[in-house]
Amino acid sequence: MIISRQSLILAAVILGALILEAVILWWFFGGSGSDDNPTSRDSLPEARLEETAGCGSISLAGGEGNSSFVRGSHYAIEVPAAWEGDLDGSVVTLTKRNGRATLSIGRARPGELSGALDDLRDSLRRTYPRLEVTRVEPILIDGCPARWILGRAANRRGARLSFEGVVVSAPTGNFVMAGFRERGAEPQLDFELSRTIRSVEFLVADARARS
Amino acid sequence: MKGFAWVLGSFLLLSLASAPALAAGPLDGIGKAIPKAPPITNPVEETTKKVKEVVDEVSKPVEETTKKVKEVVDQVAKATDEVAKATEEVAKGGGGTAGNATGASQPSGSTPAAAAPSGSKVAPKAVGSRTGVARASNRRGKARSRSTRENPEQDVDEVAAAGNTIEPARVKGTQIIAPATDEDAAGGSDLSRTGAQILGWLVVASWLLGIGSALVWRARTRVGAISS
Repeated sequence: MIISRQSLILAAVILGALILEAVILWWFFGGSGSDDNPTSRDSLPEARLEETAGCGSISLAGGEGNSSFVRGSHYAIEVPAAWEGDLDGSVVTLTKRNGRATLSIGRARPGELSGALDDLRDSLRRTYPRLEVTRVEPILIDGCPARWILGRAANRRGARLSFEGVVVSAPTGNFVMAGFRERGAEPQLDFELSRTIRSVEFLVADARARS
Repeated sequence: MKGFAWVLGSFLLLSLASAPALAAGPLDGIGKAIPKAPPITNPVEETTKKVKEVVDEVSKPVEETTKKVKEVVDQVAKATDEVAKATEEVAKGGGGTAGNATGASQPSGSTPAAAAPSGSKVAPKAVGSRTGVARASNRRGKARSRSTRENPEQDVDEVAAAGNTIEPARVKGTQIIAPATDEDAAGGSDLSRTGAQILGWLVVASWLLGIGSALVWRARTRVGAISS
């Protein structure tokens, strides 16, 4: 079989068109990276658990007259713009007003962080049948040692979610946070969730505060 | 000689071209005010407006349905709270003769809420059912009861279940644009997404056209080769 020059040119043109199309499609639909594959971690600090000397804060930012913070039991969390906060018992829930994301924080089982993390994973598995945890890392939240998990799930309403969960060993006990956002809705929500999680301030124990 | 011919030819061409214009005299429009040009409209904005109108029409029934579902959920939550209160009252009265009578009349384990110790604020089963309803309800409701949980595991369950409040944005392939509470976030991303989809389909269509024309061209060359 003799391959003519025209055939080669034709094949090259078709191949080039295919490559161009793939690049354009990847750029628009898959290029955002954190959209469907939430692996971008430019905001949460890397884990160095030995740096836990400054765990917690003596006074909370959400204490007096700071309306951008919601204060829970021994902690305060910033409410971003276009979000609203709700305190229900010991759980604070922040919800984006357009309903595309939510972040909750509450108490976790005391003791080892691994136990609290297991609780969170078990609860997530019970709640979301198609749960996929993609990353688990140790991090620091307000100077306190924490474990952070990242993954995706689908909720009962059929929404495809990206989630990040954090369990923190704060001075007054362990706390759990879980943020959810719909995949493909607003890619920058990933950054908003991470920034809000980092905004949490935990109150140090009363004895430490008095000293 | 050649140069002269070129110059002459150019002069003739120019004179021929300008002759009708000169013969027609001054143009009618010269000296008059230039009519106002129609306002330049941005086709993207027009498309966005139309898409928003369609989306609004689509989102209205969805919102109505959501409201109805919320009403039903609220009713169920109220009814559950009433049942829980009633159970709590029964549990509180369990220390006296009524509790003994309840314990005697009910088979063991059938009503753990009623058999709960009187010291507990709310029976475990009642708390569980209320938490389950709370998962399904909208968390933005400010009028919800502020319950205190003594068990941190219930906090974990509630925190983990928060994702169930997120509703899917895509309905039958149509992306509903988020409400304009965060205009810079919602508008930009949806617009770019729509543009990306159009561009993607354009690329696919042009690629298919290219393949088709290449095949036709190749077949024609073959036919030409055979016929010759």
